[in-house]
Amino acid sequence: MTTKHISIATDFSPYPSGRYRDDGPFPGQAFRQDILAPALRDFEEVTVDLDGTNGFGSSFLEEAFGGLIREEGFSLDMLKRRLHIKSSRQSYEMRIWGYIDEAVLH
Amino acid sequence: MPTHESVVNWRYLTGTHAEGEKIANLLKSYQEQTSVAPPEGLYDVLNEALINVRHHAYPKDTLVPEDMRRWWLFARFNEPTDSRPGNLYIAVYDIGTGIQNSLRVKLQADEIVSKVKDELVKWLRLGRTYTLESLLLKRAVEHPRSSTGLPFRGLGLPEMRDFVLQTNTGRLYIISGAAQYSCLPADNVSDCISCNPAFPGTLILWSIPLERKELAS
Repeated sequence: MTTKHISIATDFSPYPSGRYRDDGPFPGQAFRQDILAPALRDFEEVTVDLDGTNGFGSSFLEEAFGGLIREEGFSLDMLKRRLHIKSSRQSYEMRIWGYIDEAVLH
Repeated sequence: MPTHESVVNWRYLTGTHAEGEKIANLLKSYQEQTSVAPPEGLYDVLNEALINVRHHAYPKDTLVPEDMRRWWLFARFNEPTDSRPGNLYIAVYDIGTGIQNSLRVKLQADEIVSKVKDELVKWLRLGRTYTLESLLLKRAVEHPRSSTGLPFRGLGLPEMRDFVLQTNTGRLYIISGAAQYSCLPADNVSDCISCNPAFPGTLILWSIPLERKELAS
């Protein structure tokens, strides 16, 4: 089984912020399109490590993870099997799965 | 050179984008002066405030000059002492269209009633009421709702309120156009009132308690 570990702090930025590419230098859309979605296509399991950053606003998290359903065409079932979230703040993980669930509904 | 803490502890930032590094450096500069840690989630809500400016404050038809289409952030830190708790005051301001104006495009039924009521009072020359302004601001803060109409947008303002509710004694004020929203968890206040004359733009102000019990180990 192929696995991929993504640290947002080291593989993307310690300063994630914003939703779309023109919001700023490190928005959720860029993380999803450049790093997360390709990893989910190339590896059987992907772990996203949220620790080490300064934090995440809802816009970043919704666009990065809700966008996997809305924009990238992944299914909820596939994400539940292959996407793993690692964070010392449990609320982030809960919110991410909440955004993914909401994206499925809409 | 000024030396009083109420002067020297102010910080000031301005920009046009969601610039997380600026926010992180600001919080770091405070943390270097004290062992009191700001509550978790502060970076998150400050970034959301900047993104809201970016997305909503200055629509394409804005009359605001291009070099003024930006946000300004002011912050002041008070170190806690044995006799009083500390505070972190943070204000984010923009001179844009206001939260309510960006939501007026798609009014719900009861909001249309409020609008008619406001216009009737004005037409009858009975003064001015801002029922709709207050209603829209309160709803934008307490429920995800975006001027885009997209269900996955409009998350930032509710996130700011949730953040303050978690601090117990923190305070959040949002003044936009002709309405002011206040969230004071310690007093169980979460309300929106009209303010006249209307405020130019949007001001979001947090007062975040920094108690000695939060001293980092």
